[in-house]
Order: sequence, then structure tokens, then C-alpha cells
Amino acid sequence: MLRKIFLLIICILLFGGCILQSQYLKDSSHALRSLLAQVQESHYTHNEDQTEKIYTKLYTQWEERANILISLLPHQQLDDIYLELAHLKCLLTGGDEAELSYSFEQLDYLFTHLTKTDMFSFGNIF
Amino acid sequence: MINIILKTALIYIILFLTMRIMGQKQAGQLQPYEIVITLLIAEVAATPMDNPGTPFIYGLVPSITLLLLYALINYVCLKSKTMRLFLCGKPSILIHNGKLLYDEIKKNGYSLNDLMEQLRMSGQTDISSIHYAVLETNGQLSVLPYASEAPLTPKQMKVHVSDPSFYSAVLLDGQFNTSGLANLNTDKDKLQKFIINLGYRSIREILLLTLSDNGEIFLQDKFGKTYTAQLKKGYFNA
Repeated sequence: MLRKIFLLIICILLFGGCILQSQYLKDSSHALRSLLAQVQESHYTHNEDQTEKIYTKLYTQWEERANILISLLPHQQLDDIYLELAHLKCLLTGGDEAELSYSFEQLDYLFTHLTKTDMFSFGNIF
Repeated sequence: MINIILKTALIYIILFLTMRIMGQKQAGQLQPYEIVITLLIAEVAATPMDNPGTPFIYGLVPSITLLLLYALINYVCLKSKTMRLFLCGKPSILIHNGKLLYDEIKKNGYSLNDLMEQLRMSGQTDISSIHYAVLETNGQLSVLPYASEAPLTPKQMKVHVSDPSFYSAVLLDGQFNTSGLANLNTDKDKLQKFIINLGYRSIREILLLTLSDNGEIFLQDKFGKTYTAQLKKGYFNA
């Protein structure tokens, strides 16, 4: 009986964990993409101070979320985002516009990909 | 490096618990689906240990999933005969009436060398004396000799034999063994007094003391001296 209860608890925890993880990844992706869009918008309106402020917010938000994401995703994926954020910071302080645009695109893809790694899909299973 | 050590220790604990939940079967007694799950658990659990960049849950979740799958298959096998046959297979008779059933042996991919080895292990090398040899679903060979070749039992000989006593270790390495004491409802004080009366200064001098439910006692002290006696049944009872 105790074994059955234990297995049931494990089942519930596993199922609950799946839902929570999926929700957290979705939230993170959404929040980070939204901040990135704000950075992009602010940069194209040539508001340097505002851009700097939003970028800092984006980086802080990312660092906070990375503490949990590190236990959910392969560390390589997080390292890629850290590097791209540093690259973006560099480009924002005076870089090639084409490269900057590419960096925005890449970060957007990496943030979107946070949910895709573990998304329930045919491609992810097979 | 501390992370690897911690991860390894945690994975060991989880694997250990998983195996405990799976039961106490030995490797040779596992069914095919159990072997697959055991191998897989060992493999997936090792992933975070091998690669420091892989989160712990990448080993934990697959292990737990496999455990749940195991419990589910076990349940299905218990409830459905068809599923049991499908997942575990059915026993095959390899020897019948002292004759090898070669077709069955071939069908099971069993070599004659393996068969002879198993027969030697079961102590039956004379095939003509075997009534049945059954290859069980877990890979073990059950050998049933003809009644005329089987050892006689006391019942067949109409001899009265008493049932073996249940022995429990009540003192282990100078300390009381709580579960052993509880098994036979033994009183600690009575036992301690008995040991002092035997000339020992304390129970610390005793290496092992076993008691049976019929009052048989075996004692060995740390100096190598042994003592056996038959006491009254329930002598040390609380």
C-alpha cells in the first residue's frame, strides 16, 4: 500500500513538475523577448539612455531567471545566451548596424528556443 | 569538482532507492523487461555524472519515469495473462522423459553447452534420469528428475522430523540487536544477567549471540570462545 502511495506521489510530482517547468519556460521566454523588443525599439528611436536602462533590466532579468533555468536546460544553451547578451551590449555602445540587427535576431531566437527545447512535439520526441 | 561529487552521490541515492522499490530480485531472476529497465536506468542516470553541463533533472526524470513504467508493466503483467505472455514469454520444455527436445532448444537459441552447464549446476548430468527440464522466462533452468531418481523425503520415508528453529541474532559485536530482540520478544535485562553469570564483565565482550524460538543459544565471545546450550523455551521472554 505504502509503495502504491509512493508511486502515486511520484507520478503527481512528475506531472506537476512538467506543468511548472513548461510554465516557467514560457514565462521566461515571453518576459525576455518582450524586454529585448523594448531594447530594439529604444535603440532604433536613438534613445541611448533608455536603451542602456532597458538593456540593464534585460540582463538583470536574465541573470535572475538563469538561476532556475540552469537546473532545467543544458548549460550550453544558457552560455550561448550569456555570450550573445555580452555581444549585444558591445554592439549597442557603437557597432555595426547590420551586426546589431543580427544580434537582436539571434537573441530573439535563443529566447524563443528556451521553450522549444522541451516542448511536446514530434520533432523533439523522434 | 564538488558538483560532480554531489551529483554522483545524489544519483547513487536515487538509483539505490529505485532499485529498492523495484524489489529484491537478483540479476539472474530478472524478466526481459526488468533487464531492459535496469540497464536503461543505469545509463540515463549516468548522463549528468558524465557531463557537468547537464542538469541533474536530465538523470532524475528519466530514472523516475522508468521506475513508474516498471511499476505499470508489473501491474499489467499481474492482471493480464496475455500481456504477461507477451512481455515475459512462456516457459519452454527442453527435456522431456529423458530426451532432449532439440526444436525447442533451437527455438530458444539455447546451445547444448549452455544446457549441459545448467544441468551440471543443478546436479543432474544424466539426461535419461530427467523427467522435465524447463527453461523459465527469467532464463533459469528448472530440472525435475523422475520420482525414482529424486531424493526421498522424510514424509515418503514416514520419518518424523521437527521443523527447524528460527534463529535470531540478539547481540552483534557487543551491542544489542533491536530487531533480533523484538523477533523473539527477548528481555534485555534477563539476557544481560545471563551473560554476566557466564563470567563476562559486560555484553561488549560478546561477538555474536543467537537465540532460537526453541530456546537454543549460541554465543561466541571476542576472544574466540564459544558456548552453546539448550534453555527452556521462552527463557528470556520479556
